[in-house]
Amino acid sequence: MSTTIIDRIKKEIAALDVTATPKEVGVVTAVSDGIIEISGLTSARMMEMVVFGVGEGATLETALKQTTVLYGLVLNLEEDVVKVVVLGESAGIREGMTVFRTNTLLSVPVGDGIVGRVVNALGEMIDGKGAITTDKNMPIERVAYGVMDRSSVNEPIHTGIKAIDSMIPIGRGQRELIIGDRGTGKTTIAIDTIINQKYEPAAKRPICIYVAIGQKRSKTANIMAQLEKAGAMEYTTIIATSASEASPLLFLAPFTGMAIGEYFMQQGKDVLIILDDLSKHAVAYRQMSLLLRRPPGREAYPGDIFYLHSRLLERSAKLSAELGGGSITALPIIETQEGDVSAYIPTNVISITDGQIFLETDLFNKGIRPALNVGISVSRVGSSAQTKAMKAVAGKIRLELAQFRELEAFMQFASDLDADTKARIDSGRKYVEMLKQTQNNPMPFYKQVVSIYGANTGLFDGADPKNVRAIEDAYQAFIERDRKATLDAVESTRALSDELKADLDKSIVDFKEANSNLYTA
Amino acid sequence: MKDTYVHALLELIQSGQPIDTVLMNLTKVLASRGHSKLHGSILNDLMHALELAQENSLPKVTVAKEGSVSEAEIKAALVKLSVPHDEYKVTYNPNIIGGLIATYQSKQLDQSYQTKLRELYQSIITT
Repeated sequence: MSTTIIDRIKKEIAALDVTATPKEVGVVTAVSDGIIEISGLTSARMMEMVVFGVGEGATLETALKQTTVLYGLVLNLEEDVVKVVVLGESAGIREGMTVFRTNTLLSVPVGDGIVGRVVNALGEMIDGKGAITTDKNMPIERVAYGVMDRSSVNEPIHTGIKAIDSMIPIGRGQRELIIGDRGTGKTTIAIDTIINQKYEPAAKRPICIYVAIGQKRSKTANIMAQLEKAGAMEYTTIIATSASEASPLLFLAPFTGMAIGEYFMQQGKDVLIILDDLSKHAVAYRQMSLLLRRPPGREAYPGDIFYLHSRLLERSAKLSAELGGGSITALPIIETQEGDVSAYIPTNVISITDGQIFLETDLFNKGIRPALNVGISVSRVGSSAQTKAMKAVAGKIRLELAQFRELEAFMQFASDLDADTKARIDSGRKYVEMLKQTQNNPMPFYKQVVSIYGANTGLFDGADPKNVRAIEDAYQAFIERDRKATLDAVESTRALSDELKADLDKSIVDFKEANSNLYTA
Repeated sequence: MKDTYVHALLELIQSGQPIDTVLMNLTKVLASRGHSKLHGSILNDLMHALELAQENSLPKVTVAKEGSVSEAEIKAALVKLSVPHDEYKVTYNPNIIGGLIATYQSKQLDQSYQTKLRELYQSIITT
């Protein structure tokens, strides 16, 4: 090409209306373990995002091919240097590289289009379904709503799990911790809760956010498949950070989830967020803090580990009517070692949340699934978060189980027990059987009410405890088929009127007559 | 610990203390504290820090090739950057195609053709 043409093109480029303004830059002086020391950036702010000039010095062709941007997060402001954690792979960063300020604190792009998608900790799409349409950016770190901006938690969120909805009810805006050893069914409870929301009317259905923190990719893929199969992905967003990703991304993931949740809460919608799990989150934060040379405390965790989780979970709230009445219900998960709930991180999170669901390995191994220890699980919101129908039937079940647990020890020596004790033990065993539930099989609350009412009023009388679940399934099918109006009435009124109770009593009698074969020992 | 020594030495040198005095006092302090083994690495780090400070004391201007940008344009860019424009160091990088990139300490003004074309491309593909 002739020099004249090249010069002419250069004149055109020079005349391009792309205004250059002075920028504040820094220079990388040290790189180690994902922590970058930068000289310069004198006006950088805490939690500000910076961009690494990874394509610096490359040709235009190479620069145009680069589709990803490498971000960093300012976490330490020291006298001469700024320490930044890389939000991605630090392999391409070299000493002397230029780093640019973005002048924005870390935020995540959000919009209605994010529902049903799988994103990473920075809100970027990773499910291959195209770009996500977003309306605005929500800050990752945000001060929680004040006391006057909140209202009391009085609306239930149903998990679909009989043992939880009857005895450890969760309300919209509550934080309920799910805690237990590995392999006890913590994630199963969380996923069943998400799936159960499909039984809610669309207007009241909460938007679900599942945050996978440091989980195996196979596990996250499996969860996504379960949700898709159940039709729950329509109202669920998954934030996936795998175990192989950098610890800053694991640290950010739950904050990203909370920021997305706050976007919907501010629109007056209800949100359910699952944080799976905060133990891995604490470990990632510990790793980051140690690399940043922050002083280690107990178990080498940094001194602000409590504040990390408290400021995250405090953002879960039920807003007042003036602010739209939206809510974020948080189900954080903590994994214990050998059932030790008195360890550092579990006790921290227990003291932050509004109740806990304890899952025990012994119960799981005995076949009691969900492996809930009802005796020490609690919901501090309590029956305020229960429908009238559930409140009417759930009171007896807790008492029965408490008495059963006390008498369980005597079962070993069951030869000379009096008739009343044997009856209580028999009743307790039937309740335990009735509360068992298979995975991915959440039960809508109105069916739960019917089952528990049946258990309270003699549905299982005369039956062997081993047949309880078969009887329950058959009774549910019977009600669905022959007493649909009663079931619909329980669902719509959310209360058990005397008339409905009479209908249910009659249905139990009719069922027992028609299904006597289920009652033979 | 080594960084603390280097930091202190830099401050003493920048405050105008004679270099011979500073180095002699360093030897004495290291000996009294039992840190003589750090002497070599401290001097090494000090030299690096001084070289870096010297390099950063002048604005650096990167152009595509010699003569592609006039002195008047360079000085105008340095004025826009609000930095001293009497003396500057010029480096060459043909990848910027044309224009210039002026850098001084933690400030940068990028008027290169490469950046202009890249930003134009990104604005086209995102609209």
